[in-house]
Amino acid sequence: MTQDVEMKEQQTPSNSTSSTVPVLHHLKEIASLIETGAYAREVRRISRAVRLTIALRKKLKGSVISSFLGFALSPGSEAHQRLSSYLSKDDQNDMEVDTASSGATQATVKHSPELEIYCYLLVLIFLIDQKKYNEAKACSSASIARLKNLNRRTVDVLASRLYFFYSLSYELTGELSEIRGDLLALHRVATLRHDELGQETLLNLLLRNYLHYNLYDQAEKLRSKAPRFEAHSNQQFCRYLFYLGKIRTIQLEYTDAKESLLQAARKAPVAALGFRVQCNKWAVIVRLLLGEIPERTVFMQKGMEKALRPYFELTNAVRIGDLELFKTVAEKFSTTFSSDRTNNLIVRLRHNVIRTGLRNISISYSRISLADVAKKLRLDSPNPEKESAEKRRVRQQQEQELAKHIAEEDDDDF
Amino acid sequence: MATTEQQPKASATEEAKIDLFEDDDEFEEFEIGQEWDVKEEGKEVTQQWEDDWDDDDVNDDFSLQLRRELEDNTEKK
Repeated sequence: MTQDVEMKEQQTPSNSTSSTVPVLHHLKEIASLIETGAYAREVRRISRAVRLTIALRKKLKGSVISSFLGFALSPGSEAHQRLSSYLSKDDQNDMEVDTASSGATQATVKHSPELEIYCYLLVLIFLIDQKKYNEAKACSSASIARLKNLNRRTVDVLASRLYFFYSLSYELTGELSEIRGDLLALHRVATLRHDELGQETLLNLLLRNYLHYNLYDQAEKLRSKAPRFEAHSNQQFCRYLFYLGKIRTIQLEYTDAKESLLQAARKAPVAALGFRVQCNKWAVIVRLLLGEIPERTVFMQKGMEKALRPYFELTNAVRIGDLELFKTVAEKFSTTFSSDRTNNLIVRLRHNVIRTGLRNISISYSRISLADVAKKLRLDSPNPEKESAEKRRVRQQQEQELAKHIAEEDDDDF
Repeated sequence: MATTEQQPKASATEEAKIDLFEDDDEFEEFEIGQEWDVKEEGKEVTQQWEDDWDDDDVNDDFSLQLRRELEDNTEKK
């Protein structure tokens, strides 16, 4: 409850004319929260500090961060020099805004390692939002190196976010494979230190890494061998369920896959739209592979209609059993299916389409009465009275043979 | 991304007890290259979406042909 009240109070000042000073003020409050948390060894405070930072994310400016670095880090220190180097010259020149107050408080503030790591995280988030991916990669790599010497629970919270943005910065530049070795090493260390949040986060990042390159066997190998732990974060658990669902799908374990994917979609926060869409896309394909037709309401979920449209049309083609339509839809949305990595699964669906088509034909034929079949084949005579006995006998024999033939066909199972 | 700020705050009170780490995670890695239905779906669109798959078939070529055929047959009789 108090968190909400505080956040509201923080929002109103920033709506006033100058937004730079209030944001810096918030960052300083966050810094003191981290310092308190560090010395009291209270993980909660650190988590809260991260939450508040994310809420401020869109308001961050280079100049503000520059000023904050001057406040939070000793000038001339390695950390200060390094982090400042990632910011542009323009950002650093605006530091004059707050030099007066920062000078006064600097002498009294004793900087904790947590605060230093926090600075790395703040700068990293900013760089990614500014799309300065090269600097982001450099910053995140430096932070990983800095973390090696620290082994504190209060740092773990910050570390797990750093791991995430570290991976993201490399993913955005298409270089995920480069960090796989480092992620594996970090995962080993987190396991040894019983840093369970770190383990959870890193396992997911590794699974994501392997799946990005379609290395399903390796992903499963890591997953099955990773030591079990109690899930701490709902959001990490959601990701885990999604990646597990994908692995199970490729392994042809459709029932398990379906359960995992649907659970991931259910547990995810409503705001995580992109994630929920991905879960739903894979769940639709898996259900089709199981011979199920997902309800139309699945494709009408709020905000997902456009994204799920290709899957809606695909489902329709499978439902009808129309191979031509199926081919058309698959080609029409091939780019989407390709980027979703579902195109190979859709190839497997062709078999289902044919089976449905055949089943529909068989059902249709079994509903036509013998009398109608006979009529169609013109086995009845327009003038039965004039029919000779001989002709009648021949006709009846033909009818019997036809009936026998159809009866035998009916016995055949598809 | 613009609309996500509202919802996490609302859910924070509910889930604050369960999970310390909820609000700081936007699942942004799943937003890469995504296109969204930014505006709310209008009423005219929702009318096109019926609950039952079979409703879709009512107006296709074959159904119309079949209906005509049945009507012809009843007339003949």
